This record gives sequence, structure tokens and C-alpha cells, in this order.
Amino acid sequence: MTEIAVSLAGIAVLVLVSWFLGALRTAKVTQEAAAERLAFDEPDFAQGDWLVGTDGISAAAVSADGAEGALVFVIGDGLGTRRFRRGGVAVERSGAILAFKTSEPSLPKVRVSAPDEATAARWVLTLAEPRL
Amino acid sequence: MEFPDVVTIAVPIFVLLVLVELAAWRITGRGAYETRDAAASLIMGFGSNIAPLFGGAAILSAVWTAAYEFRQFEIPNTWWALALCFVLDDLRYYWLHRIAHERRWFWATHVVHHSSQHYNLTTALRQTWTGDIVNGVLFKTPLVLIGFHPAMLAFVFGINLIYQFWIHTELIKRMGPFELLFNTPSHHRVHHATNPRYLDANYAGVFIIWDKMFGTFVPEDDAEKPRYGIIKNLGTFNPFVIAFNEWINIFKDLASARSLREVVGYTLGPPGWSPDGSRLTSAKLKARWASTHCAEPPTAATAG
Repeated sequence: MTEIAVSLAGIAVLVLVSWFLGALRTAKVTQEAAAERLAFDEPDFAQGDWLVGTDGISAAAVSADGAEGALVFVIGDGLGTRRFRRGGVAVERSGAILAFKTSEPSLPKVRVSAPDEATAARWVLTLAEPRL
Repeated sequence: MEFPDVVTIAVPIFVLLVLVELAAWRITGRGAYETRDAAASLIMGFGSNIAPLFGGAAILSAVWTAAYEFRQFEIPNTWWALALCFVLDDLRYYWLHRIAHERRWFWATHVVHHSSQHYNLTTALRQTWTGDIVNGVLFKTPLVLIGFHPAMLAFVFGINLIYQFWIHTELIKRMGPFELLFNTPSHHRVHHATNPRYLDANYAGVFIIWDKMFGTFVPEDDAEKPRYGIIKNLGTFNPFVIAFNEWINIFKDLASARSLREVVGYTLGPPGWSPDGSRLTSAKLKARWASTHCAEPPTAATAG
């Protein structure tokens, strides 16, 4: 038990020191940053339109041909991405908020805040339903 | 036969070096730290140390004790036996590590270590909570059967782990001729990178010569800075999700498997394997990169 307590204390010290030195940082999603990250993760995703969340924590993109979508999310001071076929991810709209349900253990939901309800509704149509 | 528990002895040194690296990052701007990422890494390390206490250590001890009774050679407790054990165990580590990247069941254990988007000394401590039993039984028992005492094996692997701690840093750029034979921060940065040219390379523990012998060596290219993490980076710092995320994904896939081929593919196939080929394996990622960058897909032998 002593060893466990000492280990946990050591972890606490290191975490506090990192925080004190300014290591607690959160990335901000801008279109430039999101596009760059998506280009690295999915170089063959031809980026079309972007919806950058007004809160800077996420973004959605549609491919140039409208067949695919992508999400960019903040994780600490970095970004992550997910790519999906149009209609492949469930999308729910609540006002101007879009909720993409990925069903992944580490990323069950990605919320993107659109500037207004009309934009959010348009993006639901853009990404939620497969094209005929 | 008794050897010191070198990893436990080294823990205070690990803590000190993390503090030094934190200070160096703040002063020089080299490397990077993020508090939540570091906290997750440290908690994963803590969990990896106590996980064996739930039965894995006892099982391994029993298996190796029994296996030692069937040893093929009487290997004495001498300096040359220790050196030979160290080298062979490092070779064993290379192959376990390589399989852990190429076969999803083993990747589910190892992916934890790669799940940070940062590369610093806390990343070295981001270790798995699972896989000790299977990996230990499958990959270390042969060395016991050869004749190396389990205590000697544990000791040399402890030395190996301690060696691998300090190479998890961006503070050290290159190390001259040392890089020819040994694993170094530069070589291991390549290993942790998700840049397609760097994928599935440099599996060495201590001796990089294994990668050069078996065709998996890729040198770091100053023109292409490594980006760390995994292909689908996690969206959480929750240590329980980090520990079990890929296991959950495997079992979700198995629940949808419609044939033995799919069961085998989802477990023993490469990470990213899917029946319809819709997901991306490392090979496909490299091929995709190559289609936009050069005439032929990069291999470990040509990516440098």
C-alpha cells in the first residue's frame, strides 16, 4: 500500500508541475488547422465545404463530391479526425447544434455548433442522408 | 538465483528525468507537454504496474517455473550468460513488438503505448494493462525452455525497459555512430510516428540492428517531422477507455463476424483489416501515400 501511495503521490507531483509550467493547453479548431489536420490524416479526402464550430472545439467537412464527410475534434492541445461515408454517421440537430454519433468508445459523440439553425439544418441534409 | 528489481529502483530516476524534461521544454521550447496527456500516460503506467497483481504475475511465474523444469541446457549464472540472455531477449522483444503492430489481437494491447499525440518521457510510461499473460507465455517461455532462469529473464528485461525509457524524448536529436547499433530517440520517434513513410518501422528495444537485419529500419528524415499518435486518434484521456478501446472494437467486430475467416481476420489480421477492405491497414496507408508522393509504395528499405 505504501508503494501505491508513493506512486500516486509521484504522479500528482508531476501533473501539478506540468500544470504549473503551463502544459494545460487546449487546441482551437480553425478552418486552417482543421484542414491541415484532415489533409494529413486523410490525404485523399478532397475537401469541400467546412462548418467550423463557433466554440472552436470541432468542425465538420464535406468532400468536394458530396459523398463523404469528416469530423475534426479537439483532444488536449491536438486535433483528431474521423472520416465517414455520407449517411454513415447518425446526425441529430438541436437548434444550431449538430451531434454526430460515432458509437466509438473513445469518441461517442462530436458536437459541432453551427452559427445558426438554418446552417445546421443545411448541414444535416448535407451529411446525414446518402445521395440517391 | 536472485537479481535486483531494477525497474522499481529506477522509478525515482524516471520521476527526476520527467521533471528535467518538463523544465527543458519550458526553457527551450523543444518537445511538448500537455497536462491531461501526461496525466493519462502516468496513470496508464501506474495501472500497468498493478495489473499483474490481479493474477497475471502468479500465472506467469507458475508457467515459467514449470517450463524451467524442461530446460534444454544448463545455463549458469555468469556474466556471459547474462549478456547472451540480454541479446536473445532483445531479439525476442523485436519480434513480439513487430507482431504487436502486425496482428490486431496483440495490437489491442500495444496500441495503448502509441495512443498519445505527444512524445516525451511520460509517453514511455504509457503502458498497457492487458496482454502480460499471453505475451509472456508465448514469447518468453521459449527462452526459459532454452535454459535461461526466469529471474535472469526478468532482470534483463528490466534493463531493456529502463533503456527504452530515455529514448522517448524530442530533446535529443541525433547520437552519431551510436545510432548504427542502438535504438535512439531519433529511431524511436520514427516508430511512434503516424506519417505513412514511418509506419510500422523501428521495432527495436535496445539494438536497432534487428530492424536493419529484418528490413524494418527507417531513418528519421529532418524534412518530415514525425506526428505522433495512432491512425484514429482517441477522443479521450480516460485511462479506462485508453486501456480497453481496441479490445471493445475487436469484440464489436467479432459480434458482427459472419464466418471463421472474418473471426480470424478481425483478431489475427493486421490492424485495420475488414472483410470488405473498407478500412485501412498500414499497407494501404503506405500505398495511399505513395500514390500521391512517389512512383512506388515505400517499404522499410526504401522509405529512407
